[in-house]
Amino acid sequence: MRWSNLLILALIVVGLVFTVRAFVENTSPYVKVRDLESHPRNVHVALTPIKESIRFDIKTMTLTFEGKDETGVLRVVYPKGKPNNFEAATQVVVIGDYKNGVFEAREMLVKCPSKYQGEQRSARR
Amino acid sequence: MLTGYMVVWLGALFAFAATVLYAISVRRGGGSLRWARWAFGFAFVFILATEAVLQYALITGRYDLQYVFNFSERSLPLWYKIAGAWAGQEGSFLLWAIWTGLYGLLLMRTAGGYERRVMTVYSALVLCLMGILAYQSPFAPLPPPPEDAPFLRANFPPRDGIGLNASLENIWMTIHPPIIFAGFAALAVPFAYALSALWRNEYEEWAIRVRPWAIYAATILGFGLALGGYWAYETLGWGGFWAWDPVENTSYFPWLFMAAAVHGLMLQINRGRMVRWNPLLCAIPFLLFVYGTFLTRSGVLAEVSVHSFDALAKSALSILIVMLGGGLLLTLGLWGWRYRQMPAPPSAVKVRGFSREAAVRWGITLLILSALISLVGTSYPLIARLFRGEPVSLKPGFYNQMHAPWVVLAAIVLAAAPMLRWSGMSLDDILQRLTRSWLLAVATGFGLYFLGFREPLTLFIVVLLSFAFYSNLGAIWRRVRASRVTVGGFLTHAGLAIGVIGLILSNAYEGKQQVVIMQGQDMLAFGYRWRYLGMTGDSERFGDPRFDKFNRVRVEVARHGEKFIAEPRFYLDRRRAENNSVVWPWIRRWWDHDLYVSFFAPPQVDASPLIARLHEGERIQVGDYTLRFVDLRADGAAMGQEGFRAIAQLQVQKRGWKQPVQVEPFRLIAQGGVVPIPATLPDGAIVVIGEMDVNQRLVEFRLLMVPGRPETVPRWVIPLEVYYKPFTILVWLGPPLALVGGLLAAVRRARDAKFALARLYAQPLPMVQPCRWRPRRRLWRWLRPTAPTVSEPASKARGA
Repeated sequence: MRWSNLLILALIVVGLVFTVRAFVENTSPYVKVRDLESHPRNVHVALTPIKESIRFDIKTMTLTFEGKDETGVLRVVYPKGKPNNFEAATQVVVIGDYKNGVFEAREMLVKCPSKYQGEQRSARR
Repeated sequence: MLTGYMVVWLGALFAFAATVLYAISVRRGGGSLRWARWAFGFAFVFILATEAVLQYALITGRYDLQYVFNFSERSLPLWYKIAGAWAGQEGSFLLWAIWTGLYGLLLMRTAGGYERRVMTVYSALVLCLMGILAYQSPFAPLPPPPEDAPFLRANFPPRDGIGLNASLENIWMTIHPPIIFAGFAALAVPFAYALSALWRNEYEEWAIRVRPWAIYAATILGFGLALGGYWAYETLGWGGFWAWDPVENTSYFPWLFMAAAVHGLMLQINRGRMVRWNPLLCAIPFLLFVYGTFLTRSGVLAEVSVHSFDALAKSALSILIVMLGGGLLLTLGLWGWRYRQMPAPPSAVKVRGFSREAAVRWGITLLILSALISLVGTSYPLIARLFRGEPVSLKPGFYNQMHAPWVVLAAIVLAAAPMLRWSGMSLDDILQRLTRSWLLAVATGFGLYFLGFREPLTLFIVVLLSFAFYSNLGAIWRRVRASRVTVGGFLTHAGLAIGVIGLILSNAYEGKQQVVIMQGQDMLAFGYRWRYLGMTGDSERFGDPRFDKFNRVRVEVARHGEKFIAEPRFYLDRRRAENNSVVWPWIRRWWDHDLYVSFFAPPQVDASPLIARLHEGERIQVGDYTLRFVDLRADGAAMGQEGFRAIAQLQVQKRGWKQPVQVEPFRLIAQGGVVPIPATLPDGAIVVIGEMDVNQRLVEFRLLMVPGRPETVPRWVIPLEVYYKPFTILVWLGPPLALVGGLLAAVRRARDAKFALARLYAQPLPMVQPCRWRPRRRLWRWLRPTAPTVSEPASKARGA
């Protein structure tokens, strides 16, 4: 009886450890540019793109740009084409990893001024 | 629209009357019961009338109503106009109400001694739904446009709507919501029964009565989930069926709890176990669904989900919160209060070795565990928001990682259950019974290994799942000759196993590649040669083929001896606030795999035009051309409105021409976007307006198709994302099997209920009624439950 109890306890502990690990691996917190050195992997960064720095290589569909927040400037590489409202974007959120001074974005959310208008409209209703 | 408001309020009124009258009839009975039934009937009539009025508004095009304006347009085919009735959130609440009302009528007729209590609770739920519809009305008028938009004000009320969201214009959109809401609505019946049982303090009859409903709810909700997956696969273009999106999860965890409740009821009716837990298990799915509705409709998750719903109106949201909070308090309170009065479980009968009871217990535990995982995961943005202020969602990896060990256990339980006896058996006996299925599963594993599916963990899981599949198939095989009606549960399990195998194989072994095709250049990928042929969009009418809703991108795909044309659809939807890329993937199916062609970015034009930036009146030399920007003028509609044109007059002279030519490229505002309309020069080159600054009278002209300069010829670049997905056919096979199995089980238990109730109250067993209509009799014979043992010990029976 004592052995089976011990076994159940061990299983619960293993399960908890497993859960916590899955949690940590799959959340990606918002991080400021300054803190990227200490949190390089799997993060959200909210940036304002710098217009002059935007380069797009159409042959490989790779978008590179620099974006800034209050704490610094970050160079971003995004290999999935240029979202069609990117030029008008006031803020983008990039999700990915920071490697060798460059942020490799897996996903990018683009926030446009028009979207906020849309939100205001629905809020008014 | 007054009629609409009126029918909703009348429906709410009658639902209120039904609630009150049924509540009175619990004490008094008789007259008030008859009135209550009439009231509920009328409530249902008015729910139907609400739908009829909404359909009328959609079909006749009442674009002065906000709902119709947002989700319909004139050019829509009739079928999609009808489907518009559940495209928005008001409409989907209405759909929920319709199914709830329909089940209510059936419940009223079948609940027997439970009718008064069950229908009291149930009518209250209908009242809540009608209340939500009254405050979040689909008949609300479109608010007039603001003062600073004179063009919109002049055309108010509009004569056409914005139209259905393009990704919803799809055959699945017409099927999936009605089915899944049939499932959601069915969750209310077990909830009502559970509360009534606690209220009445009776724990045997209710289980028999609620069982077919519980099975039905779980079945239809599960099938609705599968249909949602098909819809995602066929239209969303990310190459999968299931993404653990919050809206998907909100229908997933109620489903799991409902399935747990089904098994709990089975243990109670067969073994007298779980008596105290079943009321809770039956009530939870509905509460969870209301919680999920709150999560997805309140705007809390708006930023992390692909299913976008605006926030509900305040009063409607507060009704939802009352429904959730009230339901939860009532359930937990009643249950806690009654807990000690419930019959204690029979003292454990010693079973030897392993029993089916133990397997079912494990099954219930696993179902609840999975539900909790997805419940916590879905609520995480809410929790994170409370503590950190930033809504961050969990990635799908979380759920996948958590379910990897889960599915191993689930497969083993699923494989063992059909071979186990209630009375228990020794390990040797089970192993002997399972040998054949296990051998088949191992053979399948080897087969897959030789076909190239070699990742060990995935292969292991798939072998276990196919073990479960064969084992259930064996159970079906053994029973089908004795009594076909008893195979329902095994059929469901087999269907689930095979569907999950399909999901795992098609996901874990998918091949995925980005194929960027340049116009005029061939690409090689997946052993095929890819060549861009053209787009079918009407560029004359829209200025750009991508703005045509029916635009298909034609790509020739060839390999020796095989050639076909892939036609994924791409459309830039500009009817709403921002340019929205809409993708319909193109899928070619073989028996063993799919080739799935989608886009990872919008098709774009690549060109290096000659560029000239000119102020009004200036002159400049570009290449062989001399350009003079004569003037800039406005035409058409008012500034910035639909139909507005900004026309630049340009004088062009080229070396060798006798005299300069005048051309007028312009920019047109059409369908909410700016379309540059080019002008053609005599030598074939075209002039397009790039950027412009109206205040400084500064315009950037771009010269394209310039003879002798190939880099100025625009070429399309098509960024395709191509998936190779093996064994998706299994995903299509599993859910229909599970549906048939579940419905079979529901019908069987509904038939059984009659006998079980008679046995419970020691009445003479009902006779099998002679039927006049032959086909029905045949069906009845086919479905006839195994003859009940009349010699059941009378000690179990209670006084009638």
